[in-house]
Amino acid sequence: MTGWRPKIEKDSKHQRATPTGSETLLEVHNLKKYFPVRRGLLRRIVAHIQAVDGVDLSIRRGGCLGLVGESGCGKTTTGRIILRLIEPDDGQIIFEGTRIESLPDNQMRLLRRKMQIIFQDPFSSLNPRFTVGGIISEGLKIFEADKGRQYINARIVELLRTVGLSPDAARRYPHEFSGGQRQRIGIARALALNPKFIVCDEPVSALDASIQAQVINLLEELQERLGLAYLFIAHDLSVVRHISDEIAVMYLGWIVERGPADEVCEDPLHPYTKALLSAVPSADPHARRKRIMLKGDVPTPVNPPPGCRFCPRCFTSDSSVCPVEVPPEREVRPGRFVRCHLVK
Amino acid sequence: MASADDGTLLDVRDIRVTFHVADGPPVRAVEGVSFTIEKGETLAVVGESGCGKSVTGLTIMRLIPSPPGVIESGEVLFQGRDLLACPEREMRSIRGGEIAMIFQEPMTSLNPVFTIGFQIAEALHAHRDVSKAEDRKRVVELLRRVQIPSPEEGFSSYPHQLSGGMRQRAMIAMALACNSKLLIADEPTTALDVTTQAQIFELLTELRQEMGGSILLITHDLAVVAETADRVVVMYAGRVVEQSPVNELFDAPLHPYTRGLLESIPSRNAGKTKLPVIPGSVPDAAHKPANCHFHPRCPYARQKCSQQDPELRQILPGRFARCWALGDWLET
Ligand SMILES: Nc1ncnc2c1ncn2[C@@H]1O[C@H](COP(=O)(O)OP(=O)(O)OP(=O)(O)O)[C@@H](O)[C@H]1O
Ligand SMILES: Nc1ncnc2c1ncn2[C@@H]1O[C@H](COP(=O)(O)OP(=O)(O)OP(=O)(O)O)[C@@H](O)[C@H]1O
Ligand SMILES: [Mg+2]
Ligand SMILES: [Mg+2]
Repeated sequence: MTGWRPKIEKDSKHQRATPTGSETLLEVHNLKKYFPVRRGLLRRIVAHIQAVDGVDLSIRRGGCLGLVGESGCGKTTTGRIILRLIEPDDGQIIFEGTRIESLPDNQMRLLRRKMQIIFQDPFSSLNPRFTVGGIISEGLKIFEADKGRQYINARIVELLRTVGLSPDAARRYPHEFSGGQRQRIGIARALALNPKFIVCDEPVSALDASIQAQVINLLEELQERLGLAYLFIAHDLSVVRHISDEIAVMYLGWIVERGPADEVCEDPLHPYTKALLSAVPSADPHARRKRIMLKGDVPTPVNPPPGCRFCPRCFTSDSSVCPVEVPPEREVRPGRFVRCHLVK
Repeated sequence: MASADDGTLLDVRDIRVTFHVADGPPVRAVEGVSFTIEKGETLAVVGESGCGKSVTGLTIMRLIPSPPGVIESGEVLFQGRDLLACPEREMRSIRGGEIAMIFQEPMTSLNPVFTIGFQIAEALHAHRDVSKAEDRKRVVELLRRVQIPSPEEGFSSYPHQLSGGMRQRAMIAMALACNSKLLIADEPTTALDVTTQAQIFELLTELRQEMGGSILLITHDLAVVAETADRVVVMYAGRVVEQSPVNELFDAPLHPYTRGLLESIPSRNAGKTKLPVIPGSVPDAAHKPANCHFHPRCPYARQKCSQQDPELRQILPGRFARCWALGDWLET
């Protein structure tokens, strides 16, 4: 549980580019993505959505980092930047010791074999015109075509078995499957090229309770068997806690708290994490309790508040610093990082 | 028969709804569902996708699309009066008046050509005398209560300009404007994240306390049920398989399906590496297993379960379940 690397100082550029020990698989530093907002006939840029604004993360080999936060806080954008499905405006992405944020396309394509994504919506993420076999083998046909038709067919069967589907699913079409089964097809597709790392973007949010558990178990089993690392994005903290060894909490484009999963859940430090945890319904009717209600309008990342972004909704803020000064990320306990002026 | 003052607000009796689809066998979406809702009570209906929750809610409102849907039998007694037998004209004034509904898909009930503010004001007018001048203020206040960011702007937005979550909140604001005796909320917070969800439930609870109305909460999220319901109806494949007060249900679920569902919740499995699962998957509504619909997935199933249909029977005071094996495993 000690996967968090100490934060690297801003001036040590060289160090960042070199491998940071065998433990760390992926690191990102100061990641930024501003989406332009265009208006009017001339489509002039009138503002920027600061979707991701200076994010630092790290994921161990075979580890799982849970990324939680409210809708629109930038989770999906972060996941997609890491895979370079969206180009970052600033920051470094270091995968297996290599800086990848500005790798040319042809090299990036080779790297994508090792980095895959499972999408949130099992209903729209599979091409309805392809058979399941075709969907799963798309990547194989690009990267391993030289191994021949027979190899690919055998691999499809193997992958279907791995995710608990029968081999004859290969000839059928996505609409013939239930949500949980479709999510398994998405997982099989992600596994096809033996990746090291998978971004799971809300992989179970659209699924029913009993199917959710099947998919979570499968992901955990695969992690153990294949040594996979995950970035697990979700808004359900109980799911995230179950599967992750580290958790990062995101608010309006910032990581406001990160640390070992159990510590963050049992002893949250940032006021937003506290509110988020208290909002999670507990599945225990005896534990109905007073929640911390966040006040104020939900802010937008177009004009984030100056100073601390959480300040306008915070219940502990100090009016002399919080609304004016941007809180830096600090390591307040070993392995626990917080962006808040007031946490001691 | 339930009268208006014995504490029962709604008495749903043995409703059956079938969809006759062109290219397949008829879909028996709801097969004899019964329950009651007391005044001031929150009753939750839970169950997995396709088990007939929304169809049950829509039957109460008499909004089943027909064709293909047919309400084959049953009674829906609201304050003693059977809604399934009353004229459509009366039904229209009950909808959005004495009974309000928050729909699972908000776009079905928001009119795309009118602003949100206009539509909520309409809801206010339909059932109460409100002066025009007061309108805007009240609507903006409602929008603020459901956490629409910049409610003044929200007032003059059209539905397509809002995100899914914001539409859902606008729907909730509209339902709140009606001040109804019964609110049917079909997955009211599924599109929202946890903090907003918590706010909405706080709001619903507050309003229920203020006006003493009842809520029929339809959801597949058991944690939401644990937080808000007084009593729970568990549905599986078109039928009620268990009905219990919320504490009893979570402490000692009766039906094997309820038991399996509760066991699979991550927060109830802290520290365990593997989540317990119910084997198999929910049957397709057009091809349900004969007799007990749950028997192919049930760890307690025996021969009788596939040969004879169990009835919903009282197992303990106030607690009902539909299961042959129940006697057995209560002992184990
Ligand atoms: N391609 C885009 N162009 C413009 N704005 C975008 C784009 N993609 C995302 N955004 C904006 O960036 C912000 C972050 O979006 P993102 O999808 O990362 O949120 P999220 O945390 O994944 O939310 P959710 O839980 O709803 O999926 C939002 O305000 C969103 O509207
Ligand atoms: N208009 C319709 N035509 C045909 N079948 C329908 C129609 N509406 C519902 N059904 C069927 O009736 C069954 C019950 O549907 P219902 O919408 O009540 O499920 P639900 O429990 O609300 O599920 P969810 O959690 O996914 O909303 C399903 O099998 C569905 O396919
Ligand atoms: Mg997202
Ligand atoms: Mg429904």
